[in-house]
Amino acid sequence: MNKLLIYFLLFTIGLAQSCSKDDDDTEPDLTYTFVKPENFPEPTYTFDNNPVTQEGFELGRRIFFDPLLSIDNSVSCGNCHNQAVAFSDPQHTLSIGVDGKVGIRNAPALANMAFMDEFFWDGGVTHLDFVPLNAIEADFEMGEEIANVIDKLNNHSEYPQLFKEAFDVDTINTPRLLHALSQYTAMMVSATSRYDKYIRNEGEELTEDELAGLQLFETKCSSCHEGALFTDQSYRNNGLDETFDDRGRATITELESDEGKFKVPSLRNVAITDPYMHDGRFFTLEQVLNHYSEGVWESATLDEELRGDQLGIPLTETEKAQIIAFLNTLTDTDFTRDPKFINPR
Amino acid sequence: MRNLLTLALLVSILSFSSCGDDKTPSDTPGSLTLSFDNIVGDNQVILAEEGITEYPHTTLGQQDFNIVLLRYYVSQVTLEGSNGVAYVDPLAVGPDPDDVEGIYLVTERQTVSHNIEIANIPAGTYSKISFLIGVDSTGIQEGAAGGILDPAADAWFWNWNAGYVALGIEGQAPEATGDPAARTMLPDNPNSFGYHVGGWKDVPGSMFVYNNKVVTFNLSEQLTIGNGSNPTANITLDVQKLIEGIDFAEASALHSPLAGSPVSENIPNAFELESIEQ
Repeated sequence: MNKLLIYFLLFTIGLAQSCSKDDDDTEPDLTYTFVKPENFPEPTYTFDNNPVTQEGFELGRRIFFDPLLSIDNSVSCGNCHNQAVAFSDPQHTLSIGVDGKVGIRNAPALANMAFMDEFFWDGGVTHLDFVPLNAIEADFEMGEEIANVIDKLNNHSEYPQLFKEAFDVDTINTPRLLHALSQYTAMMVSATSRYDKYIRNEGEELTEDELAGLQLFETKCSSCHEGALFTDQSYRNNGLDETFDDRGRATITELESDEGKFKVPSLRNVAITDPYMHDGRFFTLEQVLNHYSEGVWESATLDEELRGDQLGIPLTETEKAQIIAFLNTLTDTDFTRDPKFINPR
Repeated sequence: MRNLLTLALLVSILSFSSCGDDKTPSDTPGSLTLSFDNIVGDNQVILAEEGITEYPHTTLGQQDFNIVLLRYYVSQVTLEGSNGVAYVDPLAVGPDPDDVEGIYLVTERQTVSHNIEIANIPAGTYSKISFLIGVDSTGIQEGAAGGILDPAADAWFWNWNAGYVALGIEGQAPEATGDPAARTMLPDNPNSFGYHVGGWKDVPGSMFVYNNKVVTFNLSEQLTIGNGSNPTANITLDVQKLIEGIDFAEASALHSPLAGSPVSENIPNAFELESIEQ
């Protein structure tokens, strides 16, 4: 029995070797393959249920930029998520939906969603597939009913064929729509910033100021903006207000102890994803660091990390400048210019 | 999430083999049909339409009302033998309607949905039937799903606090003050009420309100399934008990886990096993 197994293994190894021989001079094309960067944690996305293919990814990309998702065909995902600025919205503090309706929060940058446990500023959604439903059906975003979107897609001149090619289905339904969008968004991996290349020893050097900033960041910021994702994915009140118009995490947990808490955002590409905070109240990183250094408000749910001898995180002007220098190394232009994400039309 | 699925599969495999041990090899599996009948006290539910101001039903608190819609998910149907061995109806979700297994939707308006057949149950005798009202984490954390879990089709799904609504009841009552978020009512209907019971996060150490509820029936007589025996369990849901303690004037719109928990707490006692047809 054991012998048989060994023969079998030898056989398979032989097969694998003979395969790779043919491809010796060509690297495999990983454009449409999800690849976990070596300095990243394991992904959370359920790729087993929705494997990425070129057809599925391109379909998701087309839908992402299609205003058909909205009630009056005016708003697409791309309206508030612009690739040039890491899929954030540089124009608006609160995002703008159909009929010029003003949203309740700032549209976050998109990157590395395949590694996240929960989504949105309040973490109300626990799986990437379900993220678009919020945007499609909220009356201040796309204002459309998902059933109408599915009807529009099924009656479209091109989409039925594209879904057929991507998923081999004759009828479009919600999970196929959501799977296509997830294939596009799960592939948004930002891991080729100067910082990443430095940390993976890929020949990149950081300047003295950037290195000093990194060291400061590690002692003063990384307890929340932790690890390769630059977020510990927790919900915290960072002292923006004394009272809360937006309950934040408490909307989901319905707990007083979560009033005014919001998800710690990733800081990847942070230098280009202004405005900042859940309501977009700050326009520069200087304003953000001034807030942490001098502007933190007391309240019952204020984060313990911001309660020291004095409120907030005391920083000198030099330290602020060095931290900002470091934060700039998280900008990933390979990601913001990656042609595979670009709206083809 | 995946662990749960694996566990359920393991349990079912285990029960297959252990049940088989003390039976002859010719044992054939059987089925159990759960037949749900929705009632209000001594009466059948009479479905109304929106705007109808006749109120054929009365709460235990003596408030009149009618019912326009009543629906709930049933999942994790479990049979336990007297030796403690359990058969758990395997659960799976996927993008095609047929991919969804082990999760069922009972809606008052669709008679065909009232009967749920659990097939391929290992032959044996069982002393306990239980099921969950709602869809637990496995049904959500595997991602977007079709059929009765497709929000463009039959599913009720909370986008903002993502998950499936375990149970929903909507209707009208003179004392109700209107529910702008009811699915089957116009937003300005002054007498509508809508109770959407959701909240599936049962995370150790977290404080989420968990509203999916297990309904358990301990059987007075052993239930024989398999080898040609395919019984039916006749189960009632009594809406009087389901909304016991709720005053329409104080609660017309229940749309969050916390708000829905008084209805959720009533679920285990609102279902009753009336009879078993062997």
